[in-house]
Amino acid sequence: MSANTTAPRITGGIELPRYKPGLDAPPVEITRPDTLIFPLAGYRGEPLPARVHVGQAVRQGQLLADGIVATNSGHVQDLREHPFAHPSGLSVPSVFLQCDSTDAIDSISARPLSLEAIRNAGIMGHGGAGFSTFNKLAAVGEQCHYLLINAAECEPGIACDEALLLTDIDGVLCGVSALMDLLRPSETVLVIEQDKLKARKHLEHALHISDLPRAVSILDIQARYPSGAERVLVDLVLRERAHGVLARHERPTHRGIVCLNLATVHAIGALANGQMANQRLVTVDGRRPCHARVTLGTPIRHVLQQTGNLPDEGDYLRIGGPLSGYEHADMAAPVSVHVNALSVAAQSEPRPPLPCIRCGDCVPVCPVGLYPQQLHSLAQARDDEGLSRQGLDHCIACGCCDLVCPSAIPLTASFREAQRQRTISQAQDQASAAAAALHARHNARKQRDANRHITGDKAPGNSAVASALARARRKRTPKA
Amino acid sequence: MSGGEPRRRALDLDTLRRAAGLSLRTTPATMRAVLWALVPGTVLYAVLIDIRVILNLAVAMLAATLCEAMAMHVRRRPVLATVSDGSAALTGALLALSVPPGLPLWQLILGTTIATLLAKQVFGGLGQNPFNPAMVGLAVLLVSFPATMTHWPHSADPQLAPIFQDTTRTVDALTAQTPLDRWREQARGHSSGDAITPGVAWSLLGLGWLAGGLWLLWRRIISWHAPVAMLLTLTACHGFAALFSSEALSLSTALLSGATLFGAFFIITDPVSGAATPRGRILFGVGVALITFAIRQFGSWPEGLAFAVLIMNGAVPLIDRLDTPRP
Repeated sequence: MSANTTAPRITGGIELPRYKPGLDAPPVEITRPDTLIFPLAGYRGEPLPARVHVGQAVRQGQLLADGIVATNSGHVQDLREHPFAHPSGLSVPSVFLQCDSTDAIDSISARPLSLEAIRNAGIMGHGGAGFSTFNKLAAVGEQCHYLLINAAECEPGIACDEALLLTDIDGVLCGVSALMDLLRPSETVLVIEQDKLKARKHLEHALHISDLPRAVSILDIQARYPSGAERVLVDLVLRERAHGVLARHERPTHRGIVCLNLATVHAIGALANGQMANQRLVTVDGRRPCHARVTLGTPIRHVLQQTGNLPDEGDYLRIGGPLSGYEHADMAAPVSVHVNALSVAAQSEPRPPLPCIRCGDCVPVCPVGLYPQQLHSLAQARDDEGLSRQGLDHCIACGCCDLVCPSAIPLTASFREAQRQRTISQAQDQASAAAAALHARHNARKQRDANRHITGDKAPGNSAVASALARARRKRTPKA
Repeated sequence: MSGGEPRRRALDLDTLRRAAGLSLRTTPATMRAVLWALVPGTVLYAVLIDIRVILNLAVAMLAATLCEAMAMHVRRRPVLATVSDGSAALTGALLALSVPPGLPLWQLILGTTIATLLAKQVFGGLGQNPFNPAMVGLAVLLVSFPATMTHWPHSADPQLAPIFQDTTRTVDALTAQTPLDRWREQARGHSSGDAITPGVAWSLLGLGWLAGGLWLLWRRIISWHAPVAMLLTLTACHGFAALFSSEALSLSTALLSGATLFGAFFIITDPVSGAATPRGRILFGVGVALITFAIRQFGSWPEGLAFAVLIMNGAVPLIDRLDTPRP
């Protein structure tokens, strides 16, 4: 059973032409290479401690680090620095897994799916950010009001979710069903952009013949970038349901809303069926646009080679879409869960930026309601306090302001950089505040001791310390 | 790889911009568009008022460009990239169209130099000037050379019925007739030479600026907020004044005269020195209109717009602060 509703468009944003390559043919199955690579990096790119050591045998599904699972069985060949899919282009300690063909599986999840199983399977968001799904689901609290399935896929050049709807809708509905059992939401809504006509037909048909516990409604929204960004989408749904939008400090889970990417839901569905969620669809655009079904951990070069899209002289590799994506120099980096698109595009001379002429074109397109013009001048002035007051932390780096700026100012890049600088200086501030507090306590103690020495008072005695010392002297075990 | 047909490549940002219709949205293209929008009015100016405006335009645009090039060279910045953005040429053009056509060229060059160097480059160049450079140049010229700056040709804007003007030269200036009155007289048979009377000439010129301004609106180069706010407010002010005094300027003169429409579409719409938000721009337009009206009605300057704009430029930081979204 499904119900249709129409929704207004998101606030801000920009309407872009539809460009969804590689949907004409079925996905290309990329053969698993002999060595899979797993960067041990967390949600923000921070290195994670390894849970395995070199030489250890691992099973498919075994955790290599917090939230990172081996997608095949084998043994750990090496653990060393290796480039990973990240805009910084840096390297991170990575597990090199020599695969064997035994396919020994760590655990088989049974229905009903539990949060613990999701955590152990290391399922992360497939939409591009890679947030831990377990953390998201665990944060929703007592009552889940809305389960939103994000099939918006607003960015031109990325079509993997649409491909999933066209090829494996049953797997998606499996995941929907499992999530409905787990979260018991009041309402389940699948949000999709209006221009995905064929995919929508598949969806309607599948919902019609499915036996989901409760109704799933389909929300058609206007095709506008970046309607698929989580906060923007949640605000759209809230507005459409006549609730207030999220406050600045609020997360969707604070309001009992769980918003998951379609491919993430599909991965959960695979898990619920006792299978490993070890592959994902990746849009590959270049000489031969297609969709590739890739085992996580496969080097990017391998994918490009098998699909016939290796870059030529003067081309560059882009991970992600033209707006939210980034150039990546090293094709040895592996496909991890947040790599949703690979593009081989031609290098072009970027327009040299001119000064800001204060035209104000950037303001109406910001989907989060920020004021990019002012953020830009604050960023240039390195005014951290002003930046945080103007809401720099809420910038989702969608790139809409870049697109409309007549002076071709790289606004998004400068906001990302400013955010990074703020994170660094915040950490430094915290560290120096802690050090200052420690120093103050140290001085105070020294002063107290000095005073006691003068006045001749006995130390009041830190009784715990004193008694511990006494015990040690008497060599007796402490009383409970 | 094989030569021949170009290989297919993935979508990149430039292609996306072009496909989304945004490729023409560049700063140099914006400046060029404004220059094009000045053409209808300029042609009417040259034909109906005084052909010397063409010379003034050429001189001022050249002088402004040279000043900017020199300044960028001294500042050790890229000269060609800056000069080719067209903003200096535009400043020169706007100034040339604001001064009397017979102004001595050296004064025009001086005004242009001040506009480019003192009002723009000294603050850091494009995007950094708090005041409208053309208006700064105009104001300096008005104050420094009141005689030549108020000496308009006999087919002059009667609105500038100047107090400073030499009474022996122009008879028209002394009459209290409105241009429309004069036009009516001539239409009844008192033709005195020109088929097109002064008042009508200036009104037609105003329509020329209006045409250019409407084109800029259609092309989304400027937004409607400031011009509409200014014109409406000015209409209200003059309409109000007309109720109380018969000597007040007629509405058509007040609005259609060259300075008003030119200012509404080409001066107050300068993005750099104007307000940044739509509501701010409305406030800006209202402020300019009120101050212009006050200077025209109660002050001794015939040309109120330049000073009104400069005063409102000073108020822009406050306007922006009031209207900034607080996320």
